[in-house]
Amino acid sequence: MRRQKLFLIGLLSPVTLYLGIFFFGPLAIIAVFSVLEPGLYGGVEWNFYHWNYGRMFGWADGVIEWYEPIYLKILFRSMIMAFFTVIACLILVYPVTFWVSRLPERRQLFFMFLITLPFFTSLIIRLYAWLVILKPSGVINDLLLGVGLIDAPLDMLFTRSAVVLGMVYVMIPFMFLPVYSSVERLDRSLIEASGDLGARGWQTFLKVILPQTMPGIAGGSVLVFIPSVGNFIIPDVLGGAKGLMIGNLVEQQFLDARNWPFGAALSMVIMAVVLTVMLIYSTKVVRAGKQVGEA
Amino acid sequence: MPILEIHEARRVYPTPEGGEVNALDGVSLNVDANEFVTLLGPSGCGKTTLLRSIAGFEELDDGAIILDGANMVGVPAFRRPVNTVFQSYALFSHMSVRRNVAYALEVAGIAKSERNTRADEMLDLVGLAGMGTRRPSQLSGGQRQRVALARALIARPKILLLDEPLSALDRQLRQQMQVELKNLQNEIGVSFVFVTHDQEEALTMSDRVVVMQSGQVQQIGTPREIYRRPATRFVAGFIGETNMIDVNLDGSGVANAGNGLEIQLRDDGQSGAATAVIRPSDLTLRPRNGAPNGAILGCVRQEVYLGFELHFLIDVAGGDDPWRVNAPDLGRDYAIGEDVALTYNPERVHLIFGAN
Repeated sequence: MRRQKLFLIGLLSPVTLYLGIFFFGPLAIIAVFSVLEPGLYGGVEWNFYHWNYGRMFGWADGVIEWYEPIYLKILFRSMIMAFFTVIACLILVYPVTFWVSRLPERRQLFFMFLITLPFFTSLIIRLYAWLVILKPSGVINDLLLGVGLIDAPLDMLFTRSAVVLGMVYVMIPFMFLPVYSSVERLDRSLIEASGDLGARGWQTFLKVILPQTMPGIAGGSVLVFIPSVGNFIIPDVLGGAKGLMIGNLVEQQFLDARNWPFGAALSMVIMAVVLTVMLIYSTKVVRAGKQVGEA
Repeated sequence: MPILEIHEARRVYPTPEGGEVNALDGVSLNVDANEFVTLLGPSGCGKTTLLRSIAGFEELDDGAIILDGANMVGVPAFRRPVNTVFQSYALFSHMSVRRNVAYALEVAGIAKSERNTRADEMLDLVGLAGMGTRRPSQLSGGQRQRVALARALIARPKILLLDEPLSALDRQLRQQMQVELKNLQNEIGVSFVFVTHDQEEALTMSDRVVVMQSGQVQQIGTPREIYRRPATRFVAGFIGETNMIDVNLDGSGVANAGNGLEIQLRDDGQSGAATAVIRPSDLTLRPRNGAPNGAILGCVRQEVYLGFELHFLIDVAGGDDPWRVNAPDLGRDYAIGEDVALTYNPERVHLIFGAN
């Protein structure tokens, strides 16, 4: 018993130390900085200062005034864009996982390799490739102009759609892997049993297949949603001024505006909102999905 | 009129090596109303393919499945008035037991109050009253089995198909479920088509047994017919232990196995090459001294004590393989090599003619 305990402590202490220092450490620093006074040239003054949070709600200097809730708007918009990214990834990935799970085992492994293939190239390079595709004199516009379908180039680049497009492209593997693992575990005899008991295809899908694969869908959605909300690289390259996301604001606060405390406060609010959404999602939505069609 | 007729069902599967295998090679059979029919055979004999074809999970390449007068070829599974109990039970783990049982009613659009009432009735019937709110994962193997049964019966199918449903249960529970299944079938009056590779199970429960091998029906008959009058050597060997002896018949009522070994028959007049089938329990083992005329002589090669009976291997004079003999435990052991005699009732010697 004692030896087992020691053994367990030995196994778990590296990860505990690592997370304790390198995960909770930075988090604590951000939390503390978010209530400190910004320094003149970056950094912080060690005085308690709550206007960082106030500024987000139009209460920057002790006087409530009419204001444009720009930060909250952008946060909300970022969440909408992340939501669309999740939905698009799911719609694209879900049928494919069924197809892959029916392949012979070797071809399945090959497909998994293909899914991870994009990771072998730098994200920045892949995003600049998207630039080449989407820009006014890019591949798509050249093609459409050449065929004569359009008279003037389409404005595809530097839009929110372009950002969502890019995020879907980057995030698809994170949706694929969890969804695939739950689809692969789905017992085919459940589908047969459902049909045997008189369910049509769509009934089987809603009442059996969807709830049975819900853990994978939920996992994939979380894995795609969270990095999408806070993403700043993709909107940086593909979004321009219109596609700005909350992650870009945080980035600007730290790098350009040199207002670390305000950036930290923004981060804390993002984290709180995202955590709340995820909590509601994982309790309500997943349960509802499991009971789809009950009534 | 039979409730189910299968005519010349054929199904060919490609093998991974590029060949073909006949899963169903011209199978015909009928199932009557309220009948318990078992499809029995070794794995790969086509029994499961046949069951899945009746359920609608597989299509036939050729042949007809006529269910209650309607041809089922091309009819999707969800429209067929049959239900299946799966080997793995295939319970929906995300639903309560009651919702599992009521599933067929739910997808048919029946009101919730009615389907809950009927689900509870079914749970009552299979001995799971009050378990409706549990999850399948909270039940034992035998209880899951009953849920699967209740779920498949709630829509009142014309035929219930059972795909080796007892194979996952331990021996004692399996024997108990065999009796319960048979009683349930009598009670509700639905035809059961039951797939198994366990011959004991087949004999215990069935009104009729269909013995299959290599996609073909070897024999259809009552358990007694199958056991006592096997149509082929395969059936004789697959159902229970047996002694099979190649013999020649000359019409005298005695089968000659060569080397002076002769077997008495119940009737005479037949002639030609045949296989004589004698069950181990139809042979009586006795000491050589005082053995009657016509007894088969041999000596003991092996004795196995099973408690309720003894199993012997007897080297028979003039025979090729040792004979199996089952004898009740009379408190006497035979020594290895001891001279013994075997007597039998000629009525119990069955003959199989033909090349099989």
